[in-house]
Parts: sequence; C-alpha cells; structure tokens
Amino acid sequence: MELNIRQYLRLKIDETSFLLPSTASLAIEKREGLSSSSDSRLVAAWRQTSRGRWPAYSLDQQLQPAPRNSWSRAVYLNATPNPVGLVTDEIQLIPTDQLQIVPFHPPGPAPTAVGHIFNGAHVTGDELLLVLEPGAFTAYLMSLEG
Amino acid sequence: MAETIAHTMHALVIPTTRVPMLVPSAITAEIMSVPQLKPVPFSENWLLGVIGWRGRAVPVISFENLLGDPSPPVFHHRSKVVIFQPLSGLSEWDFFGILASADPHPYTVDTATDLKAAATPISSPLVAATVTVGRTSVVIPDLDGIRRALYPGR
Repeated sequence: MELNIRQYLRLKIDETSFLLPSTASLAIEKREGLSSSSDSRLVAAWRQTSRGRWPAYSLDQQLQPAPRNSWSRAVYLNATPNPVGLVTDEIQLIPTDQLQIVPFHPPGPAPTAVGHIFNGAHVTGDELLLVLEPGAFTAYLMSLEG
Repeated sequence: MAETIAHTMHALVIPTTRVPMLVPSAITAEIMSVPQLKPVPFSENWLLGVIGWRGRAVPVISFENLLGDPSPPVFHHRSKVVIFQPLSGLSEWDFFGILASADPHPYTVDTATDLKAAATPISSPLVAATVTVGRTSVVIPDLDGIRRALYPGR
C-alpha cells in the first residue's frame, strides 16, 4: 500500500462504496461534461480530448459491467494509451486522518495479472469500505475494452 | 517403573452444515455471532465476505465451499463465525473466519482418547485426516493446505 496518501475518494456505486487513493485520480468529470455513449454496450460515457476520447465504464456493486442511469460523475485513472474511467453515483473526498485504513489481502486467486483489486480497508465500528488498488483496478477497467 | 506422560490438547469441534471440523483451540481467536458480511467483488464462492473485527478487515470463508461443495452456505440464528489466528507464514493481520452452523464445543484430545479413522475419509489437500469424535465424523484440516488455497503464491 502507498503510505503517503493524504486523501481518498469515496466512490458510491450502485448503493455501495469503495475508496480510491486520490493520487490515482487523473480527473473527475461531471456527467454534463461528458458525451453519452451509444456505440458501446459497456461504456457509459466518453470524455472528448484533443488526444482522443476516454471511456468511462458503468459497473454494479460487484464491479461487473452493468448499464446504470443514476450516475452523476466519472473518475478517470491514468492508463496507456488513454485514461480509463468509472461512472459513479457520488464522489466524496475524505482526508486520510478521518479514516482507519488497514491492510487487507483478499483470499483466493487475483482477478488481474497485476494482482488483487483491493489492498486495504477502512474499518471502524460497523462500517467497512474496501480500498481499490489503483494499478490492478486500472488493469481491470482496461480489460473491459476487450 | 515406567512413567506415563499424558499429552492433552484442547480442541474445538466446529459444526458446519455438512463437514464438522476438529481444530486446536490455540489456533482460534474468537467465536462470534455472524456480523454483517461485506461482499468482496471477484471472490470465489467460498469467500462469504469480509468483516471488521478488532479494527482489522477479516475475510470469512465457508470451509465446505472451499472443499468444493457448490451449495451456498446456510445462515440461521445459531450460525457463528470462528476467527482463526493468522496461518504460519502469513502477515500478523491475516486473521480469517470460518462459518460455523452453531456454537463450537470443546473437546479434549489426550493419549487415552481414541480418535479412530473415519470409515469414509474425505480426500482433499485441505484435509489432514478424517476421524470420529463420539459418533460423529469430523475432519482435521490441513492448515498448510488451507493457506495455499487462501493465499496461493504466498
């Protein structure tokens, strides 16, 4: 886990939430600033840039591709050749000192060649939020492009 | 005059829906009611979810599903989660839980105890032996096998 993370993004997706280190976020875009997608079943929206368009995927609470209409923003992660994004219902910026982040190694085989999608968790009282591992999560999003 | 040295081991019989387990008490940390399980995306069917326990994130597994039983586990009001100490070679925070169908009960294994091999042993890299406790057939898990199944490559 990266140790010097000062803030996390709480990504609300389909009635559940995940944390993403803010350092992994390249850009956050409002829905109004994105182009709707009609040419891809998996892509919810595109960000048009001078260097091409960046996809933003719609996932359900199991992080499986699923069309959803209730999203309001997309968060983009750096990737090559183009950044990839994820649409979310809500994004909240939380300082690390307001979280209790502990290591978490999901048991079982890793779903990506880069490793597990999660590498930590915020645990306090009854609340538990899984922390996305940026490299593996980016690899997963890129794998959706097929 | 020959001296008899008694070796005893305090153990727990952990009831599950189909395959009770016999484990040393020393490798368990706590027995608790089933808290809310947070699903872990991309997990195998034997990973029932993760719970917050003593400030840690602890995965809870179904031993039967880990053995290959495809049936989903049965939860009811008597179900418990048995928290296990981190297995040898893992990090100090790698506690894990196993779903029990009811409260485990203590069992003392000593030299005089006749742990007979069960008539129909379960063949699995996760099982060290299948024995009878009273009239019940129970499995003694192979902890190295469980570690390899939970954390391949570690």
